[in-house]
Amino acid sequence: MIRKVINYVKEDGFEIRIDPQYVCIINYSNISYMEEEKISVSYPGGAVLIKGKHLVVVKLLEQEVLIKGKFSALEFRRDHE
Amino acid sequence: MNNLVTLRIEGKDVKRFVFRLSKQKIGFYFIEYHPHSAIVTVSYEDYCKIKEMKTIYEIHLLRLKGFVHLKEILYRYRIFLLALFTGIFLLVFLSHVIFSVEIVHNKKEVREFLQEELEKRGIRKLSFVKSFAEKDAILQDIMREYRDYVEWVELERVGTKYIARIEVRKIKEEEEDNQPRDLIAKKKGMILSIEASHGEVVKNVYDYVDVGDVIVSGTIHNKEEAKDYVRAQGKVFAETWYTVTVEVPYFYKEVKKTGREQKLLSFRFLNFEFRPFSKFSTSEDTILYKVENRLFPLSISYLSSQETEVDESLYTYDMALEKAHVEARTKLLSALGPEDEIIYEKGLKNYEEDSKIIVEIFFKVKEDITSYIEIQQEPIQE
Repeated sequence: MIRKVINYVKEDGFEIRIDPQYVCIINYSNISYMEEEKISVSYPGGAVLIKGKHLVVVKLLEQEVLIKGKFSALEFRRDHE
Repeated sequence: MNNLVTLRIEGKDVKRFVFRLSKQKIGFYFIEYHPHSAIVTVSYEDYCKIKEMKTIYEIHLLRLKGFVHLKEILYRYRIFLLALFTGIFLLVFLSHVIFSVEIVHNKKEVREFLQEELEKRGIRKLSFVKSFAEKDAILQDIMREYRDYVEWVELERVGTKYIARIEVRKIKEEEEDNQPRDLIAKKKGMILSIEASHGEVVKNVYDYVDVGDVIVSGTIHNKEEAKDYVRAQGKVFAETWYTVTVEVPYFYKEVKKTGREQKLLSFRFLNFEFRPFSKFSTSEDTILYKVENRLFPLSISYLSSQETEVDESLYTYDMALEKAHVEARTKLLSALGPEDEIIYEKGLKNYEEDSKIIVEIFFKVKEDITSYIEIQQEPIQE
């Protein structure tokens, strides 16, 4: 129970929150590349490719990135073991 | 409070520059892209890092937020703020300094006397203004010390000047004209001593006199003929008698104020009162401000509390009797003059009534019974 509370408060796992206009990614490792039509964000164990139009990063912090634009697809790629 | 900085970055490929900065662990709280520029918000520490970088991109500071913004304003207006605070400080400081003390009285010696007394107590030119309580204490002290000389003294503050006013007691001097008079008794008693410097003594020691009896006559006789009239002068002590009745309760309670005062909050719920900051065990309270609700029995009051000392005693019969004698003596002495003294005392009767003791005490007092009366002169026969 305490572990659940700690995990809920601490938020140190990788998360994606999707909104019609925004995608928020928390606890990512790296942004591989940023273009107007695709942005690649890697996380421990893989990467996510965000596709769309007029993609813009509006917030870029060490643990959090907020992307705005018209999203068409999200592709998840796992790292080969 | 976070210290944030809003910048405008101008250059050819601003997105690439922002991306490169993010690789160097610089965090962007806000990014807005424009053609060939971007408005970004970063922390102050990251801004310092960006400033130190060698880059072809132009970095313009638009806005500060947080404590750094306040620091920047203070720094920008430092001369003005320094002048403002110095001016306020000087104004307050100088307005609390007394630059002159004026004493209002038509006699020079009275003015000098008051000036000396005020200077002894810290009221002089270039001293600090005294508070109302201090000023009151100083004036009371002067009046107490010179109660025979000073009738009334006042100290008024007008700006940076004190104006002191004084009235001295008017002592009626004895008339220098030699109006003849007799020395008479002002009370009934038995004469114990006669001192006469002028006049003819007509009574002896241990004589009983009544009110109005002539003791030292201003009429000088020669073989029963009035030869001259003088102004009788002297002092006569006689034994006078008093009966004093005193009541002393067996249960005695006296509440005395110590003079210490405290202002505090009091919380009352029904019959329970809670005073978290009270320093006194017993006190007399005056409510300065109260908040209460008619529906809910809770009230909060802001009180002025004066510390009291409660003296409670339960006397035995003997203790109450002794206290009665003490009280009777005190009561009698307060009515007598400074040279009078009690020479004998005896309890006449004691009885108890309603948990108190009533005592009647008889006193013999050596008292100054000197008084004067003017003589109606008859023409002197040659």
